[in-house]
Amino acid sequence: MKTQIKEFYGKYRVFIYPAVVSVASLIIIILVLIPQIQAFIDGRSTLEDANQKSKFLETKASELSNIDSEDLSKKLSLAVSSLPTDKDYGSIIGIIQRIGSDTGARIVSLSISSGAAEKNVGFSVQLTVIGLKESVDRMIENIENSPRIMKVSNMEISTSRTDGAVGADFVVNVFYEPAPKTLGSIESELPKFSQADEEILARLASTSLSTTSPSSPTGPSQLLPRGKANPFQ
Amino acid sequence: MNTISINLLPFDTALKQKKQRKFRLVQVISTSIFIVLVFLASGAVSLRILQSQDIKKIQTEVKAHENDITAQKDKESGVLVLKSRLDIISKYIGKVSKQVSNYKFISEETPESVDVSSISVENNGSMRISVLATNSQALDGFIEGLISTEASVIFSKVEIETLSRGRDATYRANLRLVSK
Repeated sequence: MKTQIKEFYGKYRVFIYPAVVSVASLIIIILVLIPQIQAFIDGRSTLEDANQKSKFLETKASELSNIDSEDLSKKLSLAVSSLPTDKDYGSIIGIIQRIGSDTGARIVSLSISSGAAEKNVGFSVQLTVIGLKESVDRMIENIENSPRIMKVSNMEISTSRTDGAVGADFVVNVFYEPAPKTLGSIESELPKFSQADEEILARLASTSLSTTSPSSPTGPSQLLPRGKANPFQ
Repeated sequence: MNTISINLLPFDTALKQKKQRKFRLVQVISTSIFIVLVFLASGAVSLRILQSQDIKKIQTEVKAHENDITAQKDKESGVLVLKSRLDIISKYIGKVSKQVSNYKFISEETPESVDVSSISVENNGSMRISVLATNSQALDGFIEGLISTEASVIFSKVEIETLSRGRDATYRANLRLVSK
């Protein structure tokens, strides 16, 4: 048998040898070369993605560490006091009473309804005020420009011919924005603050100082509230 | 000097040698191709190993940066909340509502000789006003002002709903101003 094989090989070795080498080469190509080249090509894109992600996260981490926590907390407090996360009825009553007394308009009644006709509108405040036209006008203006975001909606103003006093009923829409439920993924970009954002913060800081700072009382307004102390009684 | 080469080997042996040479050639070519393939395969495997090491290294870096960011999650959430709030605030702050700006316009445009007894401003900025004028010219002037070019930017329509003259020679009018 062995001799027969040897003879057979000796006779056909010119064909058998290259055939065996070809089969071995094919096995190497199919099982090693092609999979490795494919994996290498895929790996290049994985490497590129990982590189980009690493650079992005590095920049984000560095940006975060450059943020001053105290400054951020102050700014956040200003923004939240301007646009709270909930309806915060208590503070709005105080703010409106203060605006009324600062401007000299007397708040006759103040009622709150939870209507939300507009987006972000938490509730509406119906006000009845009396006073000189200038006072009522100033009150409307101060409400519109209040650091706490609120806007005058409907107005009914009537003047008395005898004493020049003005009676006004108006609805003030008070805005709020609930706290976000999700806070973006780790791969989400950190928002950039524009010049306009900085200006808003500066404006909020200046108005909040002039309206809420305990060291700068705005006259008797904080001591002697005008209008109804409790609008529900 | 001329040489004569004579193959003294038998014909079979010459044929055998020819076959042997042919086989050697085939053997060399096949083996060379095989060696090249083995070399290429080992090169590919080495490259892949190096690449995997690079990927692992970068993934470690990514993990480290992620941990760094997670440690500063409070700051990140603060920034996100602040930005979203500022975006909303910017829509309202420093901007006077249509209702108030229309009301201001009427207040500023009303002449001394005309008294506005009541103003009602609707949600869309449209208004109803009741005025009292001491004479017809004053009322004319007031209405003229409401249909001026300046007012036409604010109001699309000015309607006189009622107009009456009292015993005291005063003119009373109820006007409806439709906001644009």
